[in-house]
Amino acid sequence: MTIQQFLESVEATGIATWVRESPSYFAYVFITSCHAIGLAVVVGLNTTVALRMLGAVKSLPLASMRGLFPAMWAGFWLNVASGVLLLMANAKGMLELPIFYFKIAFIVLGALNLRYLQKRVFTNETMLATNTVDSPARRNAWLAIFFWGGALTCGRLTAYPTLISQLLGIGS
Amino acid sequence: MRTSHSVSDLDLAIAGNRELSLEASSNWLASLGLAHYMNEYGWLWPLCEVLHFGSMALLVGTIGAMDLRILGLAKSIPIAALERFVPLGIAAFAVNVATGFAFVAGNVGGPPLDYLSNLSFRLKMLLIVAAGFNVLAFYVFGLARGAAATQPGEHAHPAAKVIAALSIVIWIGVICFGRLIMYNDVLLEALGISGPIPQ
Repeated sequence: MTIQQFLESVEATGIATWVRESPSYFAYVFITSCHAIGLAVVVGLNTTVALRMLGAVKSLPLASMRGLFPAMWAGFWLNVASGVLLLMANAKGMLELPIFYFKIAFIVLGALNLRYLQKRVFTNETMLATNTVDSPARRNAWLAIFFWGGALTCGRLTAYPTLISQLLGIGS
Repeated sequence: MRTSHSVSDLDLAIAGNRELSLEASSNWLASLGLAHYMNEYGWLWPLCEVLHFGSMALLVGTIGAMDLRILGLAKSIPIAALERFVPLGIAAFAVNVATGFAFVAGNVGGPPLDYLSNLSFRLKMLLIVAAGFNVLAFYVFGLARGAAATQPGEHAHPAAKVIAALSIVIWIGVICFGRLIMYNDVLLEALGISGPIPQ
């Protein structure tokens, strides 16, 4: 079985067909709405945490922000689930787009960085006790903004497959 | 019979006026000439979309974070400190308004009326106005002051929790109806409405 055949069989499954073709609100439109909500939760909250780490609102104790991580992961996993469904519905088309691989790479890096922030940075006793962020941790804060910004941008651009090549002056 | 007849005449007249003012608004928006730039520069529309989504995330990351804290998530966060992120949320909302305006006024392949007469778009605008009144209620009824005085680890006042829950529901609605604009038929189908939107 070639990759093309495999992707075609994924698109032909009952669930993929339902997501793509059902006129029900709860098919494509609801799933894409969930994808937007999950994106806002994980990108938005992580950006707020990153901005705090970079020096915004110093009166906000860093340690208190640990409670936001479960919400960020909820948003992240909502998007993994909705993203898998949306990908199944249009597997061949999506996997043809170079920009989609950039999106996935940004998401993987963003999630690894989020895990690092939660498990390493926000468990650092010195940082939590003194309420100050050292420069390696500040780098992780910048990376959070960069990775999520990249994922959001590439995700939106998957809807404009010819735009990148036009801007770069390659292809038609 | 007579009265019902004259009422329906009045209804028609009102509906006609509304149609007219909607069309006038659409013409005015189109006269700004934004569609020309959207057509000329193919990257402009996607750029506005990226900014629209990015500022949506910032809005949720600031105002939504306040809502979640007021509802009892991450209770060790002092609400007064978190509230200092609200100006960033307002700035993000301004970017949302500006880019949203660009979509309507710069609509390519149709007049701004396509948006103004779109039921999903109208419901989205209605919910944004509702979010405004919700914030107003939060400040006018002194709930903001009470919330800011909530100590780390403490629960916010139940009335503040109602406002926070409403805020989350409203913004989820804004996102959902925003996504529905391009799939308005799905909404009309779900509501059992076919043909033009009743005025």
